[in-house]
Amino acid sequence: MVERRKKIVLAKLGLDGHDNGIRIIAKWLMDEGYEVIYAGLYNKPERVIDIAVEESADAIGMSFQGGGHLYYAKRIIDLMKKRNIEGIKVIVGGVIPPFDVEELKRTGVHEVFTPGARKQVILERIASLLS
Amino acid sequence: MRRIFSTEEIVTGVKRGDKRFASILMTMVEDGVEEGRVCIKALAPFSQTPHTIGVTGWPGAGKSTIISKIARKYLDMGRKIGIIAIDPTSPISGGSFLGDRERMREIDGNEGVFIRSMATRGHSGGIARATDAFIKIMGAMGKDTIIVETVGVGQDQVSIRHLADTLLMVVMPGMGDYLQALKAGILELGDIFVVNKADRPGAEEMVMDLEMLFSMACREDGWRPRIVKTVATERKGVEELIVVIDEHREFLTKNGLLPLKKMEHIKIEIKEALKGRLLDIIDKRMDLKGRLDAYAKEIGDGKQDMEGVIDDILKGAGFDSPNRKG
Repeated sequence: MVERRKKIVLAKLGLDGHDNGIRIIAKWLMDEGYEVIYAGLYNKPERVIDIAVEESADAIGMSFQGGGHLYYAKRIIDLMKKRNIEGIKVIVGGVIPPFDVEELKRTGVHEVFTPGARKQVILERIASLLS
Repeated sequence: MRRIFSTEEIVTGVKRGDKRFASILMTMVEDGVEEGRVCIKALAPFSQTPHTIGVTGWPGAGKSTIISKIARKYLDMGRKIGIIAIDPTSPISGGSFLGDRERMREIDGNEGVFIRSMATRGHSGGIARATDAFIKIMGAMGKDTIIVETVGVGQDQVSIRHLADTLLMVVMPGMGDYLQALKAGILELGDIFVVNKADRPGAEEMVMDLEMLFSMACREDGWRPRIVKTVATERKGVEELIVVIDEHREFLTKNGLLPLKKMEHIKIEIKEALKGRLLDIIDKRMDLKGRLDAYAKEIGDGKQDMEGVIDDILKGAGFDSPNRKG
């Protein structure tokens, strides 16, 4: 049996068009051996969930630079609950103020990365989240 | 998703057209899980044979965009579409970047479409077999048209020829002259040549080059490859392309070529599967994986040659001393 390779859907949500960060993350994850499904810019939460389901993804990674993190994270988590989707981890990164981290986790987000997060830390935390 | 479903649950789910069960089963196939095989077998009687369209061609020629335009049109016609988008796995990290969906926004999320990305990673039994299983699953879901996209470099290009009923070769102007076309051997592969980005300079020359090549070559099955000019981003030429695809499909049906194609494909599948199984057996009998480094070193240091090592391995695995010719 082939060792199970992890799949992560990466997406930007809403109208926030800053995708430099998420592209770097995509490359890091790819170099680490993940299969990255890149959904690109301007996604609706529904599309991101649909993709994660069709691809049997292990995690959804979303990047926010426009302040929409609380709103969209909640929409994603609510939709997953509504559709009875279990087992997909939700990861948020980007310009997230420190005081929103707890709130995101309370909503159900599994991991949050704030500005300045180091590559090694990000990769280690994602690896342990998905192990 | 991490919940374990019984094979019955999965089979019923897929037959119902439930995307969630289909995707779980696809992952089982990719990971080489035994139950996946059981499910595929159980689904076989329910899988109608969909029309499989392969789309291959140079990176950046516009494969994904063309697929999304064709699929959009098919959806309007009431067809049910499955799309398999294959992208390469990095040989260095084992990771991959699957970005084809990003180009298919127009249809992504539509109830009638199921899109699945696949990395070319070391599938046990080869990429072709996994693709074939995906096609079967989609067929059982009730999809009548399956589009398979591949980067089309190297070996998977050959296997897509056998998986697809109709193969589109997407090219664009400014990527080399007719010599390149001859060299790459693409002539024998494509049923329909799509000259995309045809609003760019050089499109006419490209069409002429291709036409000249087709007039010189003669295909075994009697089909004369067709050329269609498109500007996919503006939807130009898509209608015509769909007509030509249908004509090819009709040609195959009328001449009874579909069963023949299928047989060819199954023969290749048998050989592929056999290779995979043999490697497993050899590995089990003499720990090939563990000893591979040592063998490589022997060859690298010039102590052994390739044939000697292969003889050694086969003997170690208990196969009769192989009588090599020459």
